[in-house]
Amino acid sequence: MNDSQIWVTLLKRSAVVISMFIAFFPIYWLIATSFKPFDEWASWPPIWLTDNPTLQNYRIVFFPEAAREFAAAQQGSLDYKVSGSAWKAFQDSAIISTLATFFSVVFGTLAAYSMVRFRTGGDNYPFQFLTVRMMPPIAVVVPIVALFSVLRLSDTYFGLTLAYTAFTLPFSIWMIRSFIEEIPSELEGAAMVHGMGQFRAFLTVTLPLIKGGVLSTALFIFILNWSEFLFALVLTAGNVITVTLQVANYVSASSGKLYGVQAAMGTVSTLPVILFGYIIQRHLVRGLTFGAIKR
Amino acid sequence: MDRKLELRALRKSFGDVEAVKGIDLALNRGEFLSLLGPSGCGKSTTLSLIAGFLQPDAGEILVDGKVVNRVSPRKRRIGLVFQDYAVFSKLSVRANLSFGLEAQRVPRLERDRAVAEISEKLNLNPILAARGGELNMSEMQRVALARVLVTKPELLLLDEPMSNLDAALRAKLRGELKQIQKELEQTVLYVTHDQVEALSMSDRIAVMRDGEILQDDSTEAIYRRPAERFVAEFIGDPPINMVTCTVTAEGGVVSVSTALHRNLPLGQGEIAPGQYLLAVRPHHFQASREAAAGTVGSEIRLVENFGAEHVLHVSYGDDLVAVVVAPGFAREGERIHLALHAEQAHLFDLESGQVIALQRREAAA
Amino acid sequence: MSSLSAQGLSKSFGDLCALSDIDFEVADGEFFCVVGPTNAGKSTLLKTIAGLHRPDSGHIHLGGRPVTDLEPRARNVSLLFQNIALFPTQTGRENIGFPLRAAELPESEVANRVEEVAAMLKVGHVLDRLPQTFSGGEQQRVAIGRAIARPCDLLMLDEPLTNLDARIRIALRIEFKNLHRRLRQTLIYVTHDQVEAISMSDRIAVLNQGRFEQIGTPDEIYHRPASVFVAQFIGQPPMNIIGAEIQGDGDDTLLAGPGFRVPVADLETLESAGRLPRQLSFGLRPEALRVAKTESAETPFPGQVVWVERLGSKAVLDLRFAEQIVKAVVPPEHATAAEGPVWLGFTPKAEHLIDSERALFFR
Repeated sequence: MNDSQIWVTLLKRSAVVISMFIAFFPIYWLIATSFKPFDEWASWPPIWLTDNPTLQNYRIVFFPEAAREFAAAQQGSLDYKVSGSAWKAFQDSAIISTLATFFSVVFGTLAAYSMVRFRTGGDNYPFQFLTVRMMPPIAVVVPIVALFSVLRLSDTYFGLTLAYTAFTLPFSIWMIRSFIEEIPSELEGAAMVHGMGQFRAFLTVTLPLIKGGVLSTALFIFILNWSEFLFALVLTAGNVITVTLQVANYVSASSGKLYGVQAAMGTVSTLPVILFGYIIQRHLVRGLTFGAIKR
Repeated sequence: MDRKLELRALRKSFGDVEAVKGIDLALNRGEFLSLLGPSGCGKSTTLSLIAGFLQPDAGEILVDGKVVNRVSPRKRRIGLVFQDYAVFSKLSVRANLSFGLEAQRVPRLERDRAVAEISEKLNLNPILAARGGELNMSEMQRVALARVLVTKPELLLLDEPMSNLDAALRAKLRGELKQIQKELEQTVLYVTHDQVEALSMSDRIAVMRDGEILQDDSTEAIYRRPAERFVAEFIGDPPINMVTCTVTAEGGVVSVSTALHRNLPLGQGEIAPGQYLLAVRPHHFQASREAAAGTVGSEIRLVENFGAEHVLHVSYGDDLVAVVVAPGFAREGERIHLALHAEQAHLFDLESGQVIALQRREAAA
Repeated sequence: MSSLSAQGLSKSFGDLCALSDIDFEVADGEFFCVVGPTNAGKSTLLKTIAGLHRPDSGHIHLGGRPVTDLEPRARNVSLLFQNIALFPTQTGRENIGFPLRAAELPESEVANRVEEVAAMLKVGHVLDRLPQTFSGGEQQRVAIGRAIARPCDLLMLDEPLTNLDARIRIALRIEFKNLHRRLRQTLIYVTHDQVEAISMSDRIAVLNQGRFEQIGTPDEIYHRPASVFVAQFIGQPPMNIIGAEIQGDGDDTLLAGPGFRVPVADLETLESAGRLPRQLSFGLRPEALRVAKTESAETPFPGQVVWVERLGSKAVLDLRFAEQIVKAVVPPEHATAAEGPVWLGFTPKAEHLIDSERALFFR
């Protein structure tokens, strides 16, 4: 290996290290903070790893008595706003995100299939769909709030599920469409000539092949839904509460944001996503039609 | 002799699979050599080794007498054309041609001169301004070829460049490619599974099977004097007929008897009497409507119509043999009489498939 | 009874006209071949008959019943796709059994039939493997197996031998022909290889740019082509086309061109014999050209061999003659199979006279 090759290698490796650092630092900081006691949350100079690890932040998240004890221990200097535990937030988020993901992927698959195989809406239709998402959500939020209150959908599970489904559908269609496009129409053609209807051919031949793509789309959509904040904020009023809202709720009038508690909630809230990803990882994108087609 | 390329005991394995089993091959300047064999015989691996995309496990590759095993692919001065032409469709033909030279940082004036020269030779001037995407397949092939030739490679490697083309176009391009090669005196190594391409273009053919070269000989010799049963069967369309026969040798004269024909003299030789395989090209059976001395009657089981000629599949013992006749000569189910030109037949060992050497007079034209 | 009849089939994709006004019939048990260059519309034709494309106009009847508006599965046809289209998630066994299972046959019957088909096509050893482990030839055979597993009124094969090794192709050509004889199956076979078309089929349709140029038996197509396209597409090397002038009339009619004057064989058989234009051209098969080293009554015209292509059992000569290059086929050991001067002779046939303007043969 000569000198220039060594430099190139070195450069490549440092690029990898730097980007990994940028990606992982916030996660490290989140987890580290979640174990810090109250006085270390925002101390300066920063404490990289606490000497006094505590589970107090996690207890505050899940047990209302722990929150009350904590507030008392701070001798009233903490005006603690949150009653109720995070359990409900997790439960609500789980219900809404799962349902919305399910609907988005099911409708997205059907719509994408129809656009690819029957050219429904013409060649540009999927792209036109996607442009809906190019508008910043904040721009459409006011009319949606108005619409939802007229339809009495505000602060309901159905309402938020509907909003999430509608807003992730363009992504679903766009992503799943590209997977379906990779499947030669001859495969379905073969199934149809050999005795199946179009829809059964789709279910038995195409769907198993795009399973990995559909599941990765589902993971992506689920993450979007799980971490959504804006709609959750404006379309709810206490009856329904999501994880992101709950994180934002950990504030006090006197001490501002309760970083440690927020970090604990944040840490816990990544677990379902990781779990979901782990379950489907073996289905994620693989050579879709290897061996099916003569090249 | 001017050795352009030499392979010495070249070996390559992928895991447990030995793809190239120690082959030797030499290629002279200006020569057109075809590496011919079925899929998976190791011919494409050999090509990748020569081009430098793969490293051999053992053996040497010499270009112009120098070992290039450790030389990087782009410094070997070897041009490569694959079956997918990869002509840039958005670029003009001119830009396509100068692309390789630009990559080598050849100065502009020199580049233009080289492009002008090659487009003159390959008759590309009328389409220099056209974009890659507008070309037909024949033009595309010429551009792909020109794009490699313009860099003046010492050696041109072609990997089944025609296998995606229509049959009619293939026939046309064979002639074009051979003419270009002859005119430029370009040294070419051509990899193919199609014996017609190999026969029609090559000066020499090396037939490969299972990672070994079975026979490396002039094109004429490969067709007329196959050294192996496999070579005989791989070359020729319709394929050569193989019938079992009994050999007797009396006073140095070797004669064979088949299921139908008796005591046909083959030539002079010293071989043990016994069972052998007799290989007869379909053109070396002669069919007639009337019985005559040396003919044996038999029934036509199937007729293949090729327009200019018909191929009869005729019962021959338990086998069928193919016989080439003029159109309209006979129909299915009819009886015809077959003569066998034994002096043009070959004898192969039943077990090893090796040819049995015989001395004989060359058949007069 | 004709097994398939198509009338006035047309199909366009956007601006691209893939099929225009296709009419043909395939008889029961016939081996019918559709041959044409890439993009002639061959695959579109098959998919339209199978019901995967809806024709823009026209009607299709199968075994006498109209099927134009039926779904593919209701047509009782089978199709081997050009790109094979094996189901990648299914084993060889499941692929071959697919049409039977879709028809809801009992499992025992499916199993028997799969074994039977696999034995016939010699793919028993791959039945329990996935297509990604198959060789090219095995993929092809399994796909053929799936196509013939269930009896159907019409079997369609789209370029079944393309992309296979030349050697396997030659062997499969004969296998297909034997298979057809055994099954007596009505068959449409699509190919771009005129050798396959002419050597295997009962009748051939030559497709070019979405239209049939000619439909006929292999002999009709080869010996009495209707158009210059057919004449040059069928036969390898292609038919030579030579420009000429008609001189004299009646029995003394001669064809003259640069360096030759020859009588025409069987001119009286031509319907348009009296109405031929002075300027025309004629076709000459490469094997119909007589080539010799010496001048004779048989070979009176001088020519020049400029290129020799040796193909083992024969040699193709490029000859400079009549101000153009013409091709001739000779035995490889022939004395003329070397570059240099030669003598030529030929007798144009009446049915090979060409109306140059319309690129059609006179009838």
